[in-house]
Order: sequence, then C-alpha cells, then structure tokens
Amino acid sequence: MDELKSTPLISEHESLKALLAPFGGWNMPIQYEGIIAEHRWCREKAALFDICHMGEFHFQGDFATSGLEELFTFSVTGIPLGRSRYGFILNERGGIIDDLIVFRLGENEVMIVTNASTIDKDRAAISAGLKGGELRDISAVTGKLDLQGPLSRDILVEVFGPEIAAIPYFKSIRMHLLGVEAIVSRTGYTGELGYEIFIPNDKVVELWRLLLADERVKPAGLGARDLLRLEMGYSLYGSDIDEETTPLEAGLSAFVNFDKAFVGREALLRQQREGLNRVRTAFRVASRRSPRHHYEIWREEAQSGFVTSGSFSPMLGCGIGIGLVSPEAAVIGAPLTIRHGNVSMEAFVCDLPFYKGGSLRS
Amino acid sequence: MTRRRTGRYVAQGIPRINAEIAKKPRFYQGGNDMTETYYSKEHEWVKVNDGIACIGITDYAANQLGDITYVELPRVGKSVKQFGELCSIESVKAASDIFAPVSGKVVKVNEALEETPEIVNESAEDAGWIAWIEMADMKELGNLMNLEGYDDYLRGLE
Repeated sequence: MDELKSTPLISEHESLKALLAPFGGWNMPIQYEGIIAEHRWCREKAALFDICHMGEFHFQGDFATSGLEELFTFSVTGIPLGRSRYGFILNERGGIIDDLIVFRLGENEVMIVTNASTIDKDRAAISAGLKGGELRDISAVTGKLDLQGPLSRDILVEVFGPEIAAIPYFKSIRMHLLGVEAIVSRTGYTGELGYEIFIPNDKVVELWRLLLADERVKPAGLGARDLLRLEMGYSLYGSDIDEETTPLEAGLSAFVNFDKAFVGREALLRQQREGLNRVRTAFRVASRRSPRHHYEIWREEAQSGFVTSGSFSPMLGCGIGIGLVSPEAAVIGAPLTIRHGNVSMEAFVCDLPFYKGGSLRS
Repeated sequence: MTRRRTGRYVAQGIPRINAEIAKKPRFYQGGNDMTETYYSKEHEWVKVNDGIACIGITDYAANQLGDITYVELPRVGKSVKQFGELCSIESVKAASDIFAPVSGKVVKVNEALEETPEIVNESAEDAGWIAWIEMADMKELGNLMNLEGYDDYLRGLE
C-alpha cells in the first residue's frame, strides 16, 4: 500500500479539527462539524469542499488526428468553446475506466478532470489512445476547491467580480484570481448552484481562507458530499460504476453518443442488441434505515441484485439507495426488500433525482 | 424535549440542577438518584433502580458514531443475555449493534427515538436512553465498570 497523499490544505483541516480518513489514496476530511449539518449548510447556504485530490490532465493538439476524440463516449469536437461535458472512458468490453468531465479550453485545447483513485489508469488509457498532441498530467500542481450552495454565486461575485454571475451551467471561464490564472466552472456534485475552482496548488490555502472568511461559507467534508450526490442520484466511481459496469447498465446512456467512434462502442451496441441483464434501480426505504453498499435487493422472493450506494437522506427523511438489479426490479413503484444478515427493509422503486428542490440551475 | 420525572425510575428525564451539572450529566447524583452508573466495554451505560436497569449508549459511543439517523428499538418483552445483542443503531457512517449490559426482560423502550434519533447525539446518557430492562441477576453489575473505570478504559483506547 502506497503512503497516503495529502492536499495542500491538510494543516487547515487539522486546525479545523476535521475527521480525516483515507479516500482513493488520499488523507481527506470526512467531516468537520458533522455530516448532516454540513449537508444542510450546502443545501441552504454555501459549503466549501477541498477537492484537490482529483486528477487533471491538459491536452493540446488536433482532437481528431491525435486520437483524443475516440477516447471519450461524447464528442469533444462538439463541445463549444468554454463549455464542458460529462462522460466516460471505456474499456473494450464497455466497462467504465473512469467517469470524467472534459473542459473545452480552446480550439485545440482541453482539460480532463478525473477521479482521484483512477489517475494512473486514466493516464495509461489516454496515453495508449493518443498518436499525437501533447498530454500533461497536471494533477500534482492543480488545486481544486468547490463552492456549492444557493448563495455561492452571490459570494463569488462579491469576492471575484461580476463576470462570475454570467457563467451558465456547465460553462467555465478563465480568469485571474489571487494574481494567477484560474478556471472557474459552474459544475459540481451536489445538485446545488455551485462552482468548481481550479487554481495552482500554491494558491489553494489563500483561496480557502479567503472564502471561509465569509460567514455564509462553511467547510464540508466528503461525508456530506457523498450524501449530497446520492440525493441527486449521481454515480460514484468505485461504488456504483467500475470496469465491470457499462454506462447502459448504470443508467447513464444519456452520456454516450453512438454517432461517433469510441473505445467500447461495439460492446455497448452488442449489449443494446442482446438486452440488458442488469440495470440501475433507485429506491426509497419505508423507514429511516440506511441501505448500504453490497446489501441485497430482493423482488418477490428472489434476489435481484445489490445496493451500490445507500444512506439516510436528510432531505427525504428516509433511507435511499441505488443498485444494480435484474430489469423487473427497476420498474417505478415496484416493491423491493433490502436485506443484509437479519436486517430487512421494505422499499419501493422511485425516479431520480431523489431530491428535486436543488438550486442547481437557478 | 421534556425533562419531567414520570414514574419512579430516575433516568427518564433526569432534572437538571444547575448549569455545571448539566454539562456533566454523568456526575449527577442529586435528589433521589443515589444510584451509580455502570459502563460496559461496548460503551453502554446502566443505571439501576428497584431492579430495573435503564440503559443507553455513552457519549463516547455517540460521538464515535456521528450523526445518528435510526435506532432499532428492542421489542418490549424481549429477553436478553448480558453482553448479548439487544438492538442496533445507525448513523450516516455505519450500522452498529447495541449489546445488553445486563440480562433480563425489556419492559419499556424510548419511543421518542423512533422519530428523533438525534436525541442520542444531543443527550446520549440522559434523554437518549434506549430501554429499561428488568434485571435477572443484580450480581451482573459486578461485570461492569464504574465511571472511573470506564474513563480509564477510554484513555486506554486513545
């Protein structure tokens, strides 16, 4: 096991008395004040997350002739300048090597933002597919802070100026922050209005302190982040999706464009032809009990599959979860039983997102 | 949350005497409550009155669990063995078993926890009590720690 890595903010977290725990090879803050309090703060005000562990790659070159275009399940060339797009790098079997966002920075320039635990295999998969262009792994020098919550726009406008207010959902701008070039993107993982700020690592502490100086901002850890994303039904790599799961099974076919070439396309088309043996389901539990990763999902006296993510939802006041099941256990309204040892909970299939009141597009 | 003394068992809403005691509910020994609190290695507490044990989880355990989201209360009438499984408790982070610190029969449960399990975070050793157990054998208290012993035990865990 490699030694745990720390972000530039480790001593900030320690002085805030955060509970730290390993996540994807990094020593990360799980909570400060408490997971539910931080979750609520993000839904109502603005929460600041240290996301410096995530991976960033910079690519410069012709998208088509370099082979970059064929790496992704969506069209990179089709992303308008300044916009970004969510999708996947797949293996030949259609399994998900990573889910990521590509930022179109220029005519021949993108930034690829990946998960933390997958950086090495992303680098390998991207490099293997490239015949030209210049790929740089900038993860080690790029910091990332997420400010998420309904007040996040007002706060960033006050701190950095009015150009923030004009950024629409899934668009980013390059701007000068703290004397250096940064990228501010209107994206996130919470379902609230929010921004992801990419800034050189040596400015991260200064930005963190500057944003926390506003009393409307509180730090939030990965515990709250996981609750927030689950309430939106967003997939978590390593829990809901992995190399053995295809985007079609995971309910993510909206992020696959079959009108272009990409690695894994043949496997997905075959799966589509033959029909899916398992699909994503989303369910609510009839009590406050939490379903958890690997609990069994049963439909009418037969096991249909497994829970891939689950928790108590503070917004809904009940347990919620998503899982991979045989198709009859994904019909909206269908009753399910979630089982683990001698624990048994009644649930029913529902639509996504679980929480529909977010400020995401406001 | 009401803190009224109803019935003869002390632990159902122990009245606060002053601010200092309120900060340290564990040390409360006033009024008719001359009973000592006992602690288990699994972080349950017990207060006994007239052969009835009021039990719950300790402040330490509640802190370790984090935000408590669900308490599976035991069935009234359930017979339990000392250190055997009593019920379970869930937080955002994990699900854990609660063990019966004494043997006997469950005679009452804290129904307020069904809708507001966060009471356990706010007041684990008082309003967040979990159940009353009619004790089968008073001698079992000898298998538990007093406050001093439990504090030493916690220091050993650090």
